[in-house]
Amino acid sequence: MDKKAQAVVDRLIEYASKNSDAEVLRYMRDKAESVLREGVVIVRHSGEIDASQKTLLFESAKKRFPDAQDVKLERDDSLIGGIEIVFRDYRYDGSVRGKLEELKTKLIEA
Amino acid sequence: MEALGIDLKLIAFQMVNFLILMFILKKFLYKPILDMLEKRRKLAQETVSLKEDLERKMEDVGKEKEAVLMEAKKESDSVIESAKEQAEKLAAQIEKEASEKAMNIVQKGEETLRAKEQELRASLKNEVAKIAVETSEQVLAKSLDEDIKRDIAEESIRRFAQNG
Repeated sequence: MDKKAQAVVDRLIEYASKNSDAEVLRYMRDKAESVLREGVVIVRHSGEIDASQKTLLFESAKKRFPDAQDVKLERDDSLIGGIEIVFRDYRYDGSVRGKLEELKTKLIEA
Repeated sequence: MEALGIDLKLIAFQMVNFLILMFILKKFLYKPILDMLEKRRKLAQETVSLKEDLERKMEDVGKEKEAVLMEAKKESDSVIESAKEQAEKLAAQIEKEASEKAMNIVQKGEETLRAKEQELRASLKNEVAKIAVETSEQVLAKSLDEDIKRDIAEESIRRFAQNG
């Protein structure tokens, strides 16, 4: 991605952080990351992940995304617990925060 | 005759005088007076006739006036009745329109109230959900220790490995 496109993405993220809710902001961040880090599987986690969990995670990621160049782990305590995986347009949300968001949506829609 | 003192000549003369006097009186006094009397009689008769005519006409005019008045009264009654009917119709129409407008206003008010109620409910629900989730996030963020987080991560990774 060239510098101009990246600047646009950065400005969009900045705008979203000022004007939008957390869900929109995360969506935009994921989109921006999928462009900026093309081919990299991002795994966000809250709390420590032990070696066996990492192994299982890497194997599963490589199996699911055979064309992925790399798998990167990032600690994100805002998840409260669980993991979140982003690869291109794919997003797996197994975090406590995600579950709470689902609960919030269900409460609003009920 | 003379012995009796009767003068025939004088008598004849007196008679001639009388006849002449009669003739003059008749010619110059009686006839004009009679003519004048006749004229006055005729005039009086005409006056009476005129009076009778006038009375008849007055009577006719009175009758005609009465008829005209009756007709005018009928017409005015009809006009008043018609105006009354129109006024009643107009009043009914105005009442109907006012009633419809009032109904519309009430309906719109109810709709607005319902919409506001829905809006408030949605807003309240939204707010309650937001507060509930935010509170839960805060409580969980503080209460979950590393062991529990590891367990949750384990469960998430296992689910991803199985289903994605």
